[in-house]
Amino acid sequence: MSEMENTVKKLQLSIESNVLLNDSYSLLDYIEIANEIKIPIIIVNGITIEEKNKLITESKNSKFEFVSLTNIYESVLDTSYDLEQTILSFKNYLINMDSNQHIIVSRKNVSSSSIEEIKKNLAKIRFHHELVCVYSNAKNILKWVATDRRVDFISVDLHKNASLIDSALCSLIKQSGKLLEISLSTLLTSKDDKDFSQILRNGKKLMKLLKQNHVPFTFSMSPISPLHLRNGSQMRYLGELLGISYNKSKNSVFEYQFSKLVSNVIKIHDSSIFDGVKEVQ
Amino acid sequence: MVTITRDRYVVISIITKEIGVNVQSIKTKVWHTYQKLYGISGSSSAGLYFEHFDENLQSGIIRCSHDSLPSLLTTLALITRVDDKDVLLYPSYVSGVINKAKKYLSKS
Repeated sequence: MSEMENTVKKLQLSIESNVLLNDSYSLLDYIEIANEIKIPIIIVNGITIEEKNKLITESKNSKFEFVSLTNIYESVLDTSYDLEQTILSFKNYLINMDSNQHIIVSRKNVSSSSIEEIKKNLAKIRFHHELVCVYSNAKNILKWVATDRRVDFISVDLHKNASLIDSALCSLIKQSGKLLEISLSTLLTSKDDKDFSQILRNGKKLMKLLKQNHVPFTFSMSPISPLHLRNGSQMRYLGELLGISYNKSKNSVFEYQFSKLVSNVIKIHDSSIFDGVKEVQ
Repeated sequence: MVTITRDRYVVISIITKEIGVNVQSIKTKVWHTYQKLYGISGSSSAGLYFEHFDENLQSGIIRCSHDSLPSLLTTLALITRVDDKDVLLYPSYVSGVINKAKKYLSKS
């Protein structure tokens, strides 16, 4: 592959971070569309790491091959403890991957009305999923979640809980290194023009706040059907509708999610003893 | 002073699982969505023109002014249904020269 092709591929890298499987659409339906619009990483909500590994084994004889980040980590495993260097190795692997190969990641969305229940759920699920996200309509839960080490993302729906985000919560999220995940699916599923303008209004307000407080955010489509998938570039154009310029959302469609994902894969891997320390042979 | 408007040619692929998505309906849908988002004034200055559509390949070329390229790409990302059928209009290539866009289309 030429250097120019590599650069183009690097610029096109994107992630769909919240695919929820149901009876109507299988993972293969999503992968088929993701392959056409060039999304190499699909994060599937609700499946555990064991279930993901099973899917990967089953895919060996199918049209698309699924790959696990853990396997990539084992092949790029080096003795350096530099996270940035490891992320770079992962990216190089991604760029040189075949077009019919896709990385599958497991994720769990936790949603509850009380802090106690969330505490219980987090303790149960943390090591069974590569990413953990919390969605809530209560401000006190969001505040508690923002400081919990086990949570990776805080999900925001432009329709429902966007108004709960304020400056205090923003600085808390920023301090504890969490990511705010903005679901853009509501833009595609709005009932009518009034609903659409309400979503835009909420989105613009939220984006203004995030820009003021320099809070890292990510975009996800959370598609209800495979044809609602959009790649990174398209998500950034949708972000422009919410008042964030194309250049300022550069990291929101791949970089942030990917670095969080890689650091979690390293933490969950068998060789890891605790944060920053791992077993070498 | 002579000002030349620079054009951009966007190659779009129509991704759908259903058959019989009418090209004319796609054109109307793109126009309507663009007008809904940017108004009549915005759509008039965009210089949208549907250069070429291939029903067999399910792809085509849309011309717009270079200033309105981001708006057109946003519009395409927002379209989910045409003629009550689920579709995805995917902009696969953008060029400033129509021949390059046509070449890309024939290659794909």
